[in-house]
Amino acid sequence: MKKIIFQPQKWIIQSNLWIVFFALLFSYKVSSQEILSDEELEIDEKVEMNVENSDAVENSDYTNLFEILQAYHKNKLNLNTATANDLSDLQLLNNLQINNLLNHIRENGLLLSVYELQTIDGFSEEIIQKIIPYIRVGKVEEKNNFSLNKIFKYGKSQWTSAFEQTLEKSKGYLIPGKTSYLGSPQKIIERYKFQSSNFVSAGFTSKKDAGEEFFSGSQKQGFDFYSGYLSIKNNHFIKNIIVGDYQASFGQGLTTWTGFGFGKSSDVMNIAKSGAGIRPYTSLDEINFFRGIATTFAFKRFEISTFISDKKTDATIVPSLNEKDSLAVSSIKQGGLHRTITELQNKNSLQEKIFGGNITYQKNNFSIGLTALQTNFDKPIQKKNILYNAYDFSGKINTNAGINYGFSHRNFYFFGETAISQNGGFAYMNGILASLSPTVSFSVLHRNYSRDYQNFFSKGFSENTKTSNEKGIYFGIEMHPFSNFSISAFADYFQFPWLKYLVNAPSYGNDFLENASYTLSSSIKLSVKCRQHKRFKNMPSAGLINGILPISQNNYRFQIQYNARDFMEFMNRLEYVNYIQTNTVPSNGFLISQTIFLKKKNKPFSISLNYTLFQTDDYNSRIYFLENDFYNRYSISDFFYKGSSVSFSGKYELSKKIILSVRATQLFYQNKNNIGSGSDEISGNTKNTVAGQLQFSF
Amino acid sequence: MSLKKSSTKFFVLFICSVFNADADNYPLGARNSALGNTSVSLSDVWSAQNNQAGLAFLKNNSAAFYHEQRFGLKELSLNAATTNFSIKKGVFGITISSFGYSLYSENKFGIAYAKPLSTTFSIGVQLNYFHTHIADGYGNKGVLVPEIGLQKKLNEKLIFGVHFFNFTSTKLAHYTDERVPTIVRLGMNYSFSKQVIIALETEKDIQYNPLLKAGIEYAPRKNIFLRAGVSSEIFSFGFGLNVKQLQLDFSTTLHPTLGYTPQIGMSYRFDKKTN
Repeated sequence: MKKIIFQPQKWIIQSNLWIVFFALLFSYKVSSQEILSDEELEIDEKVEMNVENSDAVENSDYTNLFEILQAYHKNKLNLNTATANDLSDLQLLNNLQINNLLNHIRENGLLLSVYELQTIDGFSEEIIQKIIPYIRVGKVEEKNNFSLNKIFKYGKSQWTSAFEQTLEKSKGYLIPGKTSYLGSPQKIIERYKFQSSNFVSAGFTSKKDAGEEFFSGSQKQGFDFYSGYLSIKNNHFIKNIIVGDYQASFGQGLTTWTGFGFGKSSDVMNIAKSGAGIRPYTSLDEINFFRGIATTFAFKRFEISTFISDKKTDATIVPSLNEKDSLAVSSIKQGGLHRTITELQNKNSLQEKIFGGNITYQKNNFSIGLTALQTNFDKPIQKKNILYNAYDFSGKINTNAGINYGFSHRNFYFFGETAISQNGGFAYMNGILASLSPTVSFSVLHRNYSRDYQNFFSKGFSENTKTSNEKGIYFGIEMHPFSNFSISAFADYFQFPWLKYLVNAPSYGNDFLENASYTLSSSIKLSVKCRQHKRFKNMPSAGLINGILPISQNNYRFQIQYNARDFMEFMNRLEYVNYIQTNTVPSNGFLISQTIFLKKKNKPFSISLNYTLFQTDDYNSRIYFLENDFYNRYSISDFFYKGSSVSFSGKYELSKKIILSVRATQLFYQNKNNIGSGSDEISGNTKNTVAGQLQFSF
Repeated sequence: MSLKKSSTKFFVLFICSVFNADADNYPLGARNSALGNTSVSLSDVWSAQNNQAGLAFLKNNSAAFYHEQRFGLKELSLNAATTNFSIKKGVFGITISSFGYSLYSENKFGIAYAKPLSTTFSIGVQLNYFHTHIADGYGNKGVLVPEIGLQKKLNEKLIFGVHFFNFTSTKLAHYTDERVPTIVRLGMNYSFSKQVIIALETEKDIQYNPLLKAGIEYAPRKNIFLRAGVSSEIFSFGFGLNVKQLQLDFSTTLHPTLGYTPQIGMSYRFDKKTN
């Protein structure tokens, strides 16, 4: 067990004695060497909810999030010099806490000890424990000057080589035809990262998905996907320049937001986004990023970002209905998979040029920002003539503009954004975070996104996957009635003024979540989560009139995590799902799971084993399962029908510079003789997947 | 009888049947409404309606008015008044409420008595006269309906309450065996600090699915109250202002399809000396 030892230093003694006294009073033991750390599990929970809400298991790549945390673990964040962006990067603090911390430093001078956080509104003992592994309290260091010598002297490189394959061959590999896969079933990823102090970083990512060709056929250049960037930071006038692939996110995400944007989760106070501005793109997602040049200038209290992007993206091409253009695009593809002839035809078939910018003014605890973005396509977007598409964008050029704000006053943090699209569609949202007492925090968020708000790069807080056609109000509460015991809950009410995919009428719904967690001792943690989600969907059987019927979906989960021995941790989960559409047969799902983590101190290897049994009546009552492992931090599955899943993962540190990780999974169905559908269908009831990764640091 | 009037009447009857409003036990008070009707464990001027046991914990005599316009429709107005006064051994309360308009109305007159059985435990009873009026020759009907409630302070912060409305299952009409609904409510409230109260309540109407409700009241200053409440499908919020002995409360509830219901309440706290 690692303890944080309080070390008085010269510059502490010189200052206010009462703070030192206070700090000593609260210098409790900090144990941060648990096999699975709580803060990472908290991010897991958000990832899982995000997947559940968007129904996209494979599309997104969340490894970035953990990379940021890991980077802070190695190179702890100095709270005395951290900016609001740095602090929100941690993903563990909400905007109220961030603003209160910055205010505290502004008013009382630099922090003297981590324990001074206790005196700041909104910082419970629990949250301090969570962030301690990633932060430090240090002096304000002299800003280094930029020099080429230093860059190479302090530069660190990391090369990662990863491989994954499902051993059973699916239809796509066996049966020739238009939908057959042209390439081999391996997934191969090569990544390189260079980082020198905080000034220069560069990176390179290449990926070949399973079924894609490799150095042959249509992929003569080798990998299907290449991405790279060079980023230079400076603390003076030019704050940041990125050449290559980057992401841009501002305000609350109504105008411009690429990359992650978490919505509802049991972290009910974390509903305010804080746009990180421009940032290098290192993720594996092949679609949602910008490619070009982006810069940020800092001038007094202003920060000005500009970005320009020119890249090709995947789209389905159809004949154009207008006379000027011969071709048009009926939909933009998201998956980034290029395995079949059709998928290859869609590849890079739409050119998108994007430029935009943001001006942010910041003073003390107040900030206001203006964002504008223009998207230019070389072919007009021309969606299928279906009623639910009636208000979607059509044409070649779309322009968006928005204004966002955030400020704190006493124990409240106010935030919001208003945006318009060139067709006159609007979107706005406003919210408040409040710490009502040391043990109760409350959040509320109202949003109204018009049905014709059109933006290809927005990610506002929503129930929908897109930021349009939604009105809603959200209440969240977090309570700590006793120490070690916390309850969080949200209630979200929403309305969709227009039709949606699979919902043939305007509709409404609500979403309630209650989460209680109890830490029995440092080695036992229990949690119970319940979610009631109500919304409307089309009647299952289409008659003459295909109306909508309410669906209520209830999830109940119990989880326990405990140390069996100091090198062995157990995690069990029980989950029950109940899915009822009025006038139809209810569908139920059940899952029981056991995970064992083994990690002995001073030993170079760590192992995790998981065994899961599941049974669901159909796909509607599927259960999303996020499994923690030592391969990629986590893996997500959606289980349905009846069967089991066994997995093994291990990490072996060959030396300080070389880490080998492996993972093997077997999925077995009790009541099915084929797995998957379409070209992914595997005949047989078993699916085995193996993966391996080698990481060099130099 | 114009067509417009009869169609309005039909609409009112329809709304009443949809929202279970027939001779119902209307929750009253803008504070209660803002808190999502989680009043079974609370003690305030509207305890005479929401849980009579709460009257026993009141420190002052008081009187209040309440007005609500359901979904903004004048025909669906609810007006109510209440007062309470303590005698040696207990507290009396009187409540009058009226819902509807000239063609259809439901009126209630109730008299309550609450008594503290110990410093932490109280009981309250009420007897109501319910009167329903439907125009166009349908006539009037009056029935007697009893209520009983209990409240228990487990400690300074935690209070439990339970309330039984119409446990006698009083019959309203022989035709279709129409009865005044029987409703049982059980709830608690917890004071996290002097500024924050959280109330939870579960309600079971004999005919309908059980309801879970939650409310929060926050006092940023001594005389300002912010409130919010949730229950399935409906949420509410509101605020209250206290000026000396006068308290003003505003609230609104929002139904996803029928819209807003604004509510306003005013209450006056009498000086102790005048008792």
